[in-house]
Amino acid sequence: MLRTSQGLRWAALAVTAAAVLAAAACGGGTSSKDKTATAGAKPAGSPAVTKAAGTATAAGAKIDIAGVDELKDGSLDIGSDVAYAPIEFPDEKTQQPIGLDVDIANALADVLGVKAKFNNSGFDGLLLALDGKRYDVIMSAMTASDERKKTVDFVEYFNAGSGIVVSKGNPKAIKSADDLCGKKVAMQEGTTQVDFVVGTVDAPGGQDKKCKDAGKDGITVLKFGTDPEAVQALASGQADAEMADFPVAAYSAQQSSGALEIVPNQIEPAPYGIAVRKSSKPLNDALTKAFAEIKKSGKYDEILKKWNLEAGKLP
Amino acid sequence: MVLSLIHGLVLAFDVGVVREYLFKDIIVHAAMRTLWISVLAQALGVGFGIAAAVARNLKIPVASQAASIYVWFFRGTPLLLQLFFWFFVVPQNAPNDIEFGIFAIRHSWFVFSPFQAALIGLAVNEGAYMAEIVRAGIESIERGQMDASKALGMTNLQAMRLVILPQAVRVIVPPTGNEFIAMLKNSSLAAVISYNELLFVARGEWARNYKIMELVTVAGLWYLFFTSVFSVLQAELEARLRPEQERQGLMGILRRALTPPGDWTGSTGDRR
Repeated sequence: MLRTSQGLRWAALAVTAAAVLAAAACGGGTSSKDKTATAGAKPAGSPAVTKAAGTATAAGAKIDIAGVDELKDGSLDIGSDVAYAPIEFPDEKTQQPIGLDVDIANALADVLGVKAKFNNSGFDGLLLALDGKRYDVIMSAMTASDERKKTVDFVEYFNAGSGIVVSKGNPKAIKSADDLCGKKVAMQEGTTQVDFVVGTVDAPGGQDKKCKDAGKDGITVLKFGTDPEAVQALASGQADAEMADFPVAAYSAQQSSGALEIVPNQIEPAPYGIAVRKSSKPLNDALTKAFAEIKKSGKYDEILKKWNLEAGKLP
Repeated sequence: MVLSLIHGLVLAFDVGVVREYLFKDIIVHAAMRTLWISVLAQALGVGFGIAAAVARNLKIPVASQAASIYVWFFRGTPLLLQLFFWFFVVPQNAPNDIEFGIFAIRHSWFVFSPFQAALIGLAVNEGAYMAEIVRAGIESIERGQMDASKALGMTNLQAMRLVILPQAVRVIVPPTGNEFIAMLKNSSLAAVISYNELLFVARGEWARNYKIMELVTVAGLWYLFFTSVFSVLQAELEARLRPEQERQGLMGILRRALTPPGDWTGSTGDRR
């Protein structure tokens, strides 16, 4: 049959079809194969994986993660927008992620006996990617807002409000959120700052509506893919102010060599949380216990002090 | 896997959301902004393109070389990069105010808003591509036309304006139509500089309500609507550029819109 050119064509078609089906089967499957493979090979230095644990009292004791599917591969895969200094940003020399979130993630991972791995991705797509099981958790200076709590659960770890950055000398005299009426404000897409200004599905209108209700002009919002772009828009004069989480806003002002300054008051402080799928209860429990552990051991305070962010300590 | 995709599309698709958003104010305004900037940028682009092509063809000193560099640079870099350039790089590096007596060049002129940067970026980019299309049109006209015009006493530019370009239009229109349809879609890149065009606004809405499928459909329908209407208009324009064409009202318009010019033999149907 393979002798004829027609036979050859059928054979080629059959091979291609088989290859496509095989690729689809391999690519579409989750890492269930990986999980069964590594479950047998326990990491050499983790003493407490099979022992019952719960909240340990001895220093250095680990937490039982045997029931946590996401951690069976020995790695806590974190989705994050690594362009948000000082919470997570690339180190100038090594280009590796550093920052508050990175240090806290590493501390939590140590306690759980796994490795934390940061994966850089655009902020406004992170929760969707989490839902699609691309990551185990999202840790990206993400505010645990009521809006987001509808679709994910949070393990809270830090407190921050929104901050406003303006040009040197504050030429438009912006002292609070109400002074933003009639101004152009730059911010990053998908952030709670956007929700603050334009409102949410449940609470439509936001600050913009407040301005209009008070008879003033609304707020013109300029949204960008990353926070540095929003800051640049302010620096160039295309926006009158920039809004971001307070620690980030303060850092941008600090790094601007005097060209920008931060408006002192924090707007609506709210906790940052590690986003976990609602279906991932065991992971949620493990992370909650791990966080309690690092608070108790003093590691949490140590990290906050390193980044000068004691003001955001979660009590 | 294909079955689950179809399953998801058919069962989870919420037609109500599509109906709600298709004519919602915020979407309609954004669609109009997309249309508006596409039309403006294309018009300016055609102007730049004609200028650049004529400068190169007539070998006008300085202008010809400038045009060549212009075409090389703006075809050679991605449109996205050019948009970032106009919106972020230019304002950052714009000169401080320069005064010459009563005249002045002000720094603030270069601090482009999203609309201004998007318009400049799209138009200048389009001009580089149009320059090549216009060049093809000009070169398709036999040399004899230029010689005859010059023999009649016209200058190069007059010949271009009165004789060459009008004839070149027939060759230029189809690819230009293509370019405009591409422009309608390329305008979505202006989202990165915060221009509130259709896709950017749709994304803002789906970030809020998580209804990606439905809003992708809404945006897609609007783009399809614009490109379809434009295709009909283009077919009409080509018809009017061809001599002796039967009009036959609405059916004629539809027939021409759906049939490419020419027949099975590949001729362009203008032999009489």
